[in-house]
Amino acid sequence: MNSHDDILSMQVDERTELLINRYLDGELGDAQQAELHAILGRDPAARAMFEHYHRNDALVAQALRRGIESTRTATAPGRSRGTWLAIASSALAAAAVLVFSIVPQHPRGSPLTPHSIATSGALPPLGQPVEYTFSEPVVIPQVPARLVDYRDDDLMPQRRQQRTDRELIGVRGDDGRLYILERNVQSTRVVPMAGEY
Amino acid sequence: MTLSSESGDAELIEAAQRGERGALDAFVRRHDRWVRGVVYTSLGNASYVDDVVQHVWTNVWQQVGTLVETQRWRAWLFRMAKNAAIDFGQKAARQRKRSQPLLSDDVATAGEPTPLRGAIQTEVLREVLDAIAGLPLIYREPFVLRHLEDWTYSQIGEALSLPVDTVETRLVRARRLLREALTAEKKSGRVQ
Repeated sequence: MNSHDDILSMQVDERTELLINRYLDGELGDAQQAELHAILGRDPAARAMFEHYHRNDALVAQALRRGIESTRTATAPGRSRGTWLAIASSALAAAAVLVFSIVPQHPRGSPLTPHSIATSGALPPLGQPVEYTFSEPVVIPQVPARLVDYRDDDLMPQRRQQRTDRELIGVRGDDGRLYILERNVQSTRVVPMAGEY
Repeated sequence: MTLSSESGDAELIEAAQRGERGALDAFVRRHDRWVRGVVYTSLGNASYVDDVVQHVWTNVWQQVGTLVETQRWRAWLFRMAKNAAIDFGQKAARQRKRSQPLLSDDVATAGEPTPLRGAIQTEVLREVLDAIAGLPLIYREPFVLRHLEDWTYSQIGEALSLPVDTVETRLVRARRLLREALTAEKKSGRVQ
């Protein structure tokens, strides 16, 4: 056993140990800090304990954070991409069916376009038929590159379940491109199907 | 109400209860790490933490509307994390007898600057994790919350429903026990 261990094995009174703990935990008041400094200045055993605890704390924080990170298998890029690809494939398949089953009709009121549907929020309840017209070009610069942002799916699997309550409609815009109009209870989005999925 | 990164946790909870999008997401992002820490140290097994944590957040999503005292979200969330870990642990115990180490081998070596240095550091961290895992649960819980999130005694007491004095006492004992454990490891030549 070396001299540091000898010192470390010496008894430190409970009061000093308490002060060291409070200091390391950021719970020590000014007066107590002065008291602790005085003790550390004169007591090698207290100093050894302080250094030991200080070093251990750093190791503990590092070990725990690394250990916690090692548990994040669900957020691995491969899995997220796989999830997205699977959902995107389903959406494309659904759209491919729907795009040929829905014939756009001229509305009774003001014309609905993918853009107006996506931005107006004035939508009929889910399950009711909607009439669409695509006489205007679809220009939606704010539309996200993805159909839905899945970044949080690994944390919120329930959201994934909720998306089963959505409606997906494939439409072809005046520009000739294919779009997916997705509507759920909270929002509607229009996304061009070309791009990186 | 406009939510921002500065919004209080109770505000986020209340916004989530009103159905505001993004509030719960922000809450999850803010607290995922320590929830993961609670599950992680309760299970003593890194392999299933992810599944249990997802289960916790699913429960939160489903039950956020039932939280009446939103200021007490910390205790509520801690209980939910702990209960999920206990439930899983009981099921797992029936299925397998051997537990795996806290730090899984495949990820333990990530981010090492050099092979030798990394190996030594990984070994040290593994010993530290083993020592933490060896702490009695009543000491381990406040100890992990303190070191993962730098929570105050008051915040830890709120989460664990304990008086501040008790939290402090448990942290003192946790440090002491950890020191003894690591010193014993050192004597046996496993920790330098």
